Amino acid sequence: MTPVDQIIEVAISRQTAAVPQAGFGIPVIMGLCTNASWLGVSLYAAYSSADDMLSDGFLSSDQEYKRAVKLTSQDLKPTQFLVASHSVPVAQIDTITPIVTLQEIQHFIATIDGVPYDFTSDATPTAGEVVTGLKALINADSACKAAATGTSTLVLTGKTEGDGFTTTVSANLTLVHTLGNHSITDDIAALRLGGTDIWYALLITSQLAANIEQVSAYIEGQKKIFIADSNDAGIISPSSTTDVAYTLEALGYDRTALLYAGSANDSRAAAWVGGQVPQTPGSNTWMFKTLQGIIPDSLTQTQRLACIGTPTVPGKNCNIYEEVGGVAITENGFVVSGEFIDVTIGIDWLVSEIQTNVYRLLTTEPKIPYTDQGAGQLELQVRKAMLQGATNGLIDKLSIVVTATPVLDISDNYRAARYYPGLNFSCRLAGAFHHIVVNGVVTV
Amino acid sequence: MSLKTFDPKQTVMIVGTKIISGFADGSYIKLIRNEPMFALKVGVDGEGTRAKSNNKSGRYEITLNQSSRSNDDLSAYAAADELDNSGAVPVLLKDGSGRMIASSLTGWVQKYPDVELAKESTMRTWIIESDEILIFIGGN
Repeated sequence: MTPVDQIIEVAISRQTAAVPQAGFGIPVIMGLCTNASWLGVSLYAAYSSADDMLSDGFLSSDQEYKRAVKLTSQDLKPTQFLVASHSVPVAQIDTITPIVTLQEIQHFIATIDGVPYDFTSDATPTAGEVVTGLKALINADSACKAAATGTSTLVLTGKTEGDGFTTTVSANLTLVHTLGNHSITDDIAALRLGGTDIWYALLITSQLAANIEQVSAYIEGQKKIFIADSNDAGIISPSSTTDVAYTLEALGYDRTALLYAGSANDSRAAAWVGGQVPQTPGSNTWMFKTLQGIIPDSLTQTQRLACIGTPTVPGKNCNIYEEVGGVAITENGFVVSGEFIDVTIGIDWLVSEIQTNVYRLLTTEPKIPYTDQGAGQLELQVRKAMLQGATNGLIDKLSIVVTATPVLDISDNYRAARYYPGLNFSCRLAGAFHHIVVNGVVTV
Repeated sequence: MSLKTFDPKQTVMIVGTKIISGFADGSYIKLIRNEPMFALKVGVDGEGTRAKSNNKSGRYEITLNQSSRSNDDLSAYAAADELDNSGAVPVLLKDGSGRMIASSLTGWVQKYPDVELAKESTMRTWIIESDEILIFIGGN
């Protein structure tokens, strides 16, 4: 029988390639996950409700479960969230042994994170003398991430679990990396590379300052946000300069938001994230939000100013949750740099939307010609993202300007390489009102 | 004063992801807002009141040659819209030799053009309707 294909050829060109887009509404909770049945088999599991975690071995007393309950107890809640495991952070240990066979004056140099610690021996060095000398130099440097111990062998131990350092030594020293550093950030990287990267907002069960600071430093390099809570009492003290909020504010991170918690482990960051990440980026501010299931703190004016400051005098850019005018609200909705969380998320969304739109165009059309018409196709995708941003409330529509440089104004080399740097846009963020001053005069 | 040039070939008309080309001779694109920005009422005493319309809807009327490939593209959008409402797409109109620009987040084929077959090649006029057209009428 003759196949019908030989008579009628049907060719369908599909131009519907799906392009994955960042999952702005998907949070991940990272913890030890000690009781998870999938621990050791998988790096994470996806859930749509906290109760599903109990079927996977989690106990109702587990911090991961408690956070998931708060995450999903808000009026708006994520339709999906991830729970991922991290292992216990480990402090790095390096061991250095002096080689003293050569009996003459020598420089024994151990370099840690680029800082050389140079011990000059006498003409008859012993291992003990060299170790004692280097130990004194290293321990005298409070900025050094390693603490030195040992008698005939120098042992460098990371001062903080997870905060690694690099060591190199001169030829008359032998270096052994005895124990590698391990941070939660290693597990986050493993999750992204070997598990899933569809999530956007990160929560961790740890409230330790060292863990929060390490994760903040890592997240700053990613297109994600990290919302942490901390009950570090120093946060609400204006004179404290060693608390986690003071440290993070000084570092000026744009992707970490810190929420002060008067009580330990009440999962308030999870509650905050649960109510906010499902909302369309640009449509919400993270200020003025009531967290279901969380008891607000009662702070003095001095304590609240230490955290959030005033519009003119900044504090530590640490968010708080307290009752104002009879309503429990979050204030001020900013990341530790002082920028607002919704701005960071909104710009991430805009970047993702433009990339997705343009990439979808490139992958669904046979080609985009390097002509002004082709540049117009690209421009329209940028414009589409901007107008969508305006519809979402992120951008002031009247401020949108998108231009595509005429292709003949692009250099020959770029055109030959099919490289087009000519798309430009500008716009004004719609922002939001947070502090309002009303001036009035009343007369009789 | 330097000589200004308008070149119809530099017209950039994009509907969805498609470049529209194969325009007819003569008037080939019309851009029309459905309502005036203001409606004026003047009372008997001469006092006027203007009422602003926030209706920015309008239409792009595109006239193509019968043989234009863009007829296929616009037909595809119209068919998609008839099938499952998926034919609403962004629209951009630019004068590449000037500063006029108009754009819409969503535009759709209002109706298929009237089709006339004749001894000579005929034209197809497509109406792309939009709920909002942002316009800047610049010169050349």
